[in-house]
Amino acid sequence: MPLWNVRPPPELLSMPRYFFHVHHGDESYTDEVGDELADDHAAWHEATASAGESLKDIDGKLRPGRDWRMEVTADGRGLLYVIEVRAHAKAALPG
Amino acid sequence: MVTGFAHSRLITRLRAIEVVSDHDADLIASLPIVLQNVGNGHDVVRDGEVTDRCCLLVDGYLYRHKIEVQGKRQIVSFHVPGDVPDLYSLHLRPLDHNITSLGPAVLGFIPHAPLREALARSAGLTAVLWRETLVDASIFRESLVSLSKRDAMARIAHMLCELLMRLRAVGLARGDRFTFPASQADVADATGMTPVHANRMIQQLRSMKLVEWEGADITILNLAELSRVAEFDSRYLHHR
Repeated sequence: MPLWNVRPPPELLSMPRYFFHVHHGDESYTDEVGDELADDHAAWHEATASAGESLKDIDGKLRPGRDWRMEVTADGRGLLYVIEVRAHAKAALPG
Repeated sequence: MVTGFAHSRLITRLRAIEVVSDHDADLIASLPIVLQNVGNGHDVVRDGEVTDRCCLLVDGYLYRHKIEVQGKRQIVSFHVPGDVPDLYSLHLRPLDHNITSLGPAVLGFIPHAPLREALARSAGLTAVLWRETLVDASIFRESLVSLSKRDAMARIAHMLCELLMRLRAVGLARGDRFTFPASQADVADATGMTPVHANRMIQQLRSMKLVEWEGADITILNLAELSRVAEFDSRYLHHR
C-alpha cells in the first residue's frame, strides 16, 4: 500500500473540544459550539488571550458587584479553569 | 469557462466604482487572460516575489496577508471576484505581501506588458485603475479604524457588512446570502483576535439573530441591526 494512503486512526485525528463560558453580572454566555484545540495547554493559552480581549472591550461596563468570569470546560471532564475579574469600589462611584 | 467571462468580471467590478466607456471596456476585453483553477490555500504571489503578471480573481476568494511579528499571520484584506489584488505589482517590485486563495478559486492572469500597453493607449482606463487603487486604500483605512477602535463583535460585524456590499456590487450576493469558505482561524487573523474569541463573537451574532453562519454559508438576517453594531457606513467603498 502506498504510504500516503495510511491514515492515523480517527481518535488520533480528532482533538479534544473545549468550551469557554462567560458570565458577567447577570449576563451569561454559554458556549455550545466549543473549539477543538490540541491540549489543555492550548486551551489555557486561548482562555487567557480571549479573556484579555474581552476585558479590552469591556469598556466601562465592569461595575462593583458585576464580576467577570470565564469558565473553561472540556468534553466529559467538566470544569478545568476559571479566570475571574472582581471589581471593588472603596468609595461611592460617580454617576 | 470562456475568458470573456473573466473580462466581464473585471469590467463589472470597475463599473461598480466608476463609469467605464465602451472604448475602455473593449480595451479590457482585448487583454490576454490565462485562466487557472486552484484549490484552497494556493499562494498566488509570495512576499518578496517579482512577477510579470497581475492576477484577476474570476471566482472564489483571495486574501492578502503578511507573516509578521513572531511568525503570526495577519490577513490584511479579502478579495471578491473582479478584484485584481496584485495590481500593485505593476509598480511595486518585489511585492511586499502574500496573496493566497481562500477555498477553491478561478484566477485570470494578465501579463503586465499588454496591460501597460492598454494603459498607455487610454488615459480613461488609467484613471479607472487608479481609482480602483484609491478605493483599495480607503478599505485599508477603514480596516485600520476597525482594528484599533471597534470592539471584537463590531469588527466581525463590519467584516460581514463589507463582504456583503462588495459581493452585491459585482452581483454575487443572493439577496443577503453569500458563500464564504473562511475558517475560524481566517476570521480571527483578519479581525485581530484569537480563534476562540472569534468563535464566541460569531456565536453571539448568531444568538442575536443577526446572522446565520453554517459552514461556508452566511445569511445576514438583519442587515440594519448588523450595520448598527458594526457602525458600518458603506461610503468608504466608493460604489457609484
